[in-house]
Amino acid sequence: MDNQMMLKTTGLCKSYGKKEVLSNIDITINKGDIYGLVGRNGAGKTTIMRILTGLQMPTSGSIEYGFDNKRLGSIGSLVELPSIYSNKSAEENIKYQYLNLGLKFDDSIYKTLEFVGLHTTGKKPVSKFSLGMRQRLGIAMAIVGDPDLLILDEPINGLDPQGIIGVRNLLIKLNREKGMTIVISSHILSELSKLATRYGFIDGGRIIREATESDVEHTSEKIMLLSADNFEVLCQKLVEEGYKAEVVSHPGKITLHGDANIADIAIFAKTNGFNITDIKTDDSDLENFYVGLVGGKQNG
Amino acid sequence: MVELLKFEYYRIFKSVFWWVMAAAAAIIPVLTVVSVMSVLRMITGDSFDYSDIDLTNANIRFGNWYVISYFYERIPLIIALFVPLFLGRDYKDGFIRNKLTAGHTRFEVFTSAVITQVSVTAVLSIIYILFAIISLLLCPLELNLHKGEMLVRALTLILSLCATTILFTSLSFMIKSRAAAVVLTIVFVFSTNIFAMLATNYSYNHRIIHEYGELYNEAAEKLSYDNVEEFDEDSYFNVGWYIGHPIFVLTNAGLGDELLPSVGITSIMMDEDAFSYTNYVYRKGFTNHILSALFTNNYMTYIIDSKDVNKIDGVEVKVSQVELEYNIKSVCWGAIFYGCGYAIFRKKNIF
Repeated sequence: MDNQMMLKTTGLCKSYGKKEVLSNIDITINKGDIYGLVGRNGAGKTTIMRILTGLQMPTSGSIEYGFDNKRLGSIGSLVELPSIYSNKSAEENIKYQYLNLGLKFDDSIYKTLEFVGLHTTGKKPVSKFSLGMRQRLGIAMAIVGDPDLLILDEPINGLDPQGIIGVRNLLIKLNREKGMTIVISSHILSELSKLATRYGFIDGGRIIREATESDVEHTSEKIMLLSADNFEVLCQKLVEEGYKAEVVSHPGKITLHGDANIADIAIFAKTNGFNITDIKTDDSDLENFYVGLVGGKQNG
Repeated sequence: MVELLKFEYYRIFKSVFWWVMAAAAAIIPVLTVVSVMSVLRMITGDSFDYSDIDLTNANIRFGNWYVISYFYERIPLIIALFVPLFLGRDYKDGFIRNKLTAGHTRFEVFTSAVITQVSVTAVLSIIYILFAIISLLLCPLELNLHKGEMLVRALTLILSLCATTILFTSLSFMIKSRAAAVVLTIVFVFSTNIFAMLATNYSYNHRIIHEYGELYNEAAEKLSYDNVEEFDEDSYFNVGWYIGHPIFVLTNAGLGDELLPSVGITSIMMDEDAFSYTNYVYRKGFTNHILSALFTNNYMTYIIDSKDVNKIDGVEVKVSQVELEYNIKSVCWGAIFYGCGYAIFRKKNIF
């Protein structure tokens, strides 16, 4: 991966009336990146993606492109739901996308369908496709015309495990074989961590941190999730005892940050008359990193 | 833009709805000819054998005008369904997002839709007219295009329909829900009858009424009746006039009444002079208004004759001038609908 800039936003803001949903978004995406946008619901991920794809206009700020963004199809996207005609077949939809981009019909239509594993669907209308098939068709539509930048918002939303693996492999293939730069958001952090090479963490409409894959690996802290009766009171006791505990990141549970010993916590709870019903440690680097950023910030 | 035009035409060509509409546009004139012939048969004969039908020149003239121009009343209903349903699918299925993310500007997306939808309206109208001509050629009504004047007038009607199509296209881009857009366009089509009634009933302006008043007072002075009151100009300018007259002046609502033959049986029976379309048209709304006044106030028939109405300056207008006025209004309204539609779509967030 070289460091050729593909896309750079400066001071991107978006407001709906008086409500500001994005505030001074500065992100830089380099060629060959798989850039993961991480944030909770309503953090502003989709709004950023809609602005990057031209579906929405920013209230202020600018976007700089490191490629010829005037070329039809230079940006491929799948934002939330696939944009496909439900009464047409997969092949017809790809043909419409070819027309949309000013491309001539040729064998590559079939190859594109083959690439996403939909070459055998024949005349079956998209309305009869499974969710996974629709998502794959959505990705196929997005990659028509060999885009320089692929923007995918929650592409594995609602997919079964097999579908998730299929989309993951597809994206890795696009990135490695075609050198496509990808911006992706997902709630499934464990999946995102298997794909992304760089991350942008967003919260409350602001980018709170940009990080590389290795930043996440080295900086992330371990967390422990506790389920207990009177968990809010127990959380307060743990904080008084000097633990970094909070109940914001995982509602209904106590999140303990740092290297806490399970036995020590269990004994502490028992001694203070609390009944712990479940203890889990989370080893996901990305999740820990994210909770460390967002959860820690909210505790503070 | 060229890519989007190809896209839209390809999609229209692949649309079953389009072919159904084209078939309807071809069948309606045939049915219209049959219905006109049936009406004429009832008036002029006593059997259903059309071959021995005894048609006068007035019958033939009416039949030709009626059949050729009837598309102006039927095509709006078809496009009121087609435009929002066709364009609405882009919103419903989200394909409009592909167009924007592909790199097409909003101007290109909107303009390509306007161009293709307007051409759909034009093509449907032409299909109708072609089949109307063929049907007339094959029936006893005989084809008489009035030295091409009928086709010139058809162009005025088509231009007006194109402006309506731009309105429907703009509405389809403003409203995400296909159902809501269809309801709005259908309501528009049906409500235009009300607007047309308002517009043509109040077509008279201050000058016409003033001249009519002078004519009335002049005639009244020659009579010796004591109970004849002086003409009251103000009684003509009521609330209805203040609503209806601007509609008449500013919109195409009066076009149907001014440029199309009346549907009534009386029109069929009218003689050449009264049913003249070649040189002049009457501002029918006003004429009808005066005629109805003559009917309701018997004493007025002694004061003024319906023929006197023709002496009023501005009542009798050349067809070409009326056509020009409506063509200008069509272009202006088309531009307004286009501008408003684009201004809203340009700023619209696409979800």
